[in-house]
Amino acid sequence: MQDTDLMLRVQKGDEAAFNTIVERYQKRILDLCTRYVGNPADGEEVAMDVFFQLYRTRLDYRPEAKLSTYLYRIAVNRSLNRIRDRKRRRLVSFEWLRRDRPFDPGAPDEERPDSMLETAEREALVRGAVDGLPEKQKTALLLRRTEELSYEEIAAAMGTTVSAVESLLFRARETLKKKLRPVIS
Amino acid sequence: MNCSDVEKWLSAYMDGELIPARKDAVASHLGSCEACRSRLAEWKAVWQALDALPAAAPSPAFRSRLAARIRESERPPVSERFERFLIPVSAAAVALLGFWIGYIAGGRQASSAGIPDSVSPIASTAYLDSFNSVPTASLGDIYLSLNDAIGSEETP
Repeated sequence: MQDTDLMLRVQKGDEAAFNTIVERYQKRILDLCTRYVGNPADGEEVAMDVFFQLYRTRLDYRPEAKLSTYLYRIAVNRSLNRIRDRKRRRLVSFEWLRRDRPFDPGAPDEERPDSMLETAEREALVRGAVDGLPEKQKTALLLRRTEELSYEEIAAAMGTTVSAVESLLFRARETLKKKLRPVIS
Repeated sequence: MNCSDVEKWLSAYMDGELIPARKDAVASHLGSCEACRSRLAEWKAVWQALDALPAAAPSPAFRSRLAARIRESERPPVSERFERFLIPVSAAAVALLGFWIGYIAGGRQASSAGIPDSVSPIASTAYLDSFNSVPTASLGDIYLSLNDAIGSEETP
């Protein structure tokens, strides 16, 4: 069933239709939110906010709007709010770098502590570079890289033009190229 | 098409967002320009480096927590719930109070009704014997006179 039909059913109180939407989009929204806010726990909270908001404002949804675009827009806004809240509260989460597995000398290379440290450092570097991008560049980059949205879809989700998206992605790539030189060279 | 044109279109080229004619022109330029090829290679490496950001998987409780949050949001607000609760509880309290008052009053009547009439004046008179020596025209004297008068009326 099409997203629009599902949303129309949700508007009439069909709980199963809402569950289908959550099932269909939870992975994508969770991925986007987690990469946006920088750690899995916050990412999941924000993703939950997104679906909760979708349910709460279900009567505001208009079939002319693509549901995925509507969801991505909520996801980006909620992620930005979470980051701003965190900055205000000056909370820093190291969850992203945490590794709970004990040392195992027979483990494959990628699970050895030295390799894990290298991976963690790499993640931290990439995370830092992405987090350091201006909000709009970061949004465009993640929607393209994580969600593989077209420029038109990104523009719709961000409420901007396709040429603005082109420009944002160009600048994001140039900035990341400089910041990630140690990783890519 | 020169390097500055290509620079403008390279990002869209990499993302497969160019119209075919423009895409061919960029591809043709890349075939002959080492600098632009190098920039494209760096961008591709950047794109690959972003794989370091791990994908997320929803926790098993994600759906149930979401459902619980929605259910909670659909419950009426606390004030409304309080009002709904308050009315029947107040009515029940008033009814209970009524029963209690009725019970107490009924109990008193029953206890006074339970004392035999023949015992009551004797007990009262016996008790009031201690007032025999009351001064004339005192409150005690008046009470005893009245009591005697009532006793003589009741006696056939």
